[in-house]
Amino acid sequence: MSTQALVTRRRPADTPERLDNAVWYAPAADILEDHDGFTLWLDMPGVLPADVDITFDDGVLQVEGKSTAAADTTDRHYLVQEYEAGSYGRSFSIRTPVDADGIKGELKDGTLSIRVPKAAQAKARKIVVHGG
Amino acid sequence: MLELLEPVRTPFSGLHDQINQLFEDFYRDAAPQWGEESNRFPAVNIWDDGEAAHLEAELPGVKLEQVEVLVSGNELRLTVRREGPANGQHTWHRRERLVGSFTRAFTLPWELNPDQVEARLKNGVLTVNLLKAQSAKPRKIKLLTQ
Repeated sequence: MSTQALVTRRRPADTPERLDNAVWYAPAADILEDHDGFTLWLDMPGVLPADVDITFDDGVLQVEGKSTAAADTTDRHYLVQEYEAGSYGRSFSIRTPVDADGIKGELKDGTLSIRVPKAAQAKARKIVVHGG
Repeated sequence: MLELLEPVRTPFSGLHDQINQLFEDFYRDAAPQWGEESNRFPAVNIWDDGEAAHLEAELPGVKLEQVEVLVSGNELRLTVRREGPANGQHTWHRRERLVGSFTRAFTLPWELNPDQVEARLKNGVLTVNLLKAQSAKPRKIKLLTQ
């Protein structure tokens, strides 16, 4: 079996542009909006909870997961090599007013889930019409 | 005998060609990317350190009971099931994470010992240690003197 070249195309991290030599990817995301807020699921395999950074500033949610478990790969004779482990970074602009203090994140099985609650004034309200 | 006719050129032929080119470029750029991504899930690395082979695969959001590793002879088969978030009366803004059942199969250059396969799943990364079968290990041959 001959060693294959890296074949999996991964999206590089979008913003900000990074001036280090580390490998940065944009994590694949599922984003769901419901009445009360947004839930995001971001794939960050190999990242530890302590290495996740979530910030919210001026309507932009920025998420970073740094991969610190970089193994020494110099002595490996690869039979199949399809990816290179790396860190993850992605940011999302949320124009709906949100409750920034209520943002919560949880990293489980390599997937980071983030709950972003909407601000009270952004929730759709049902107006009760009273009959005369 | 067939005669090839020169296509009739009209003032719009150039535009027609350009539009065709646009579609060709679009499909050439878009199609392999998606196909490649889904064929290669999960992406794996397999390497040899002399004593054993090691497989590593990134499986975020997958639980141990959703992973199956089968070893037979020199073949290794990895099957993974991944479920997405529950679907309700909500609005999806992104759905990029692949869900479903995925299988990858590999043929290694030597026989594997099926009794000594260790698999671990941690932080969304699967590692499998595959020991070589006794018959696949190099043996020192005793030289006989005459």
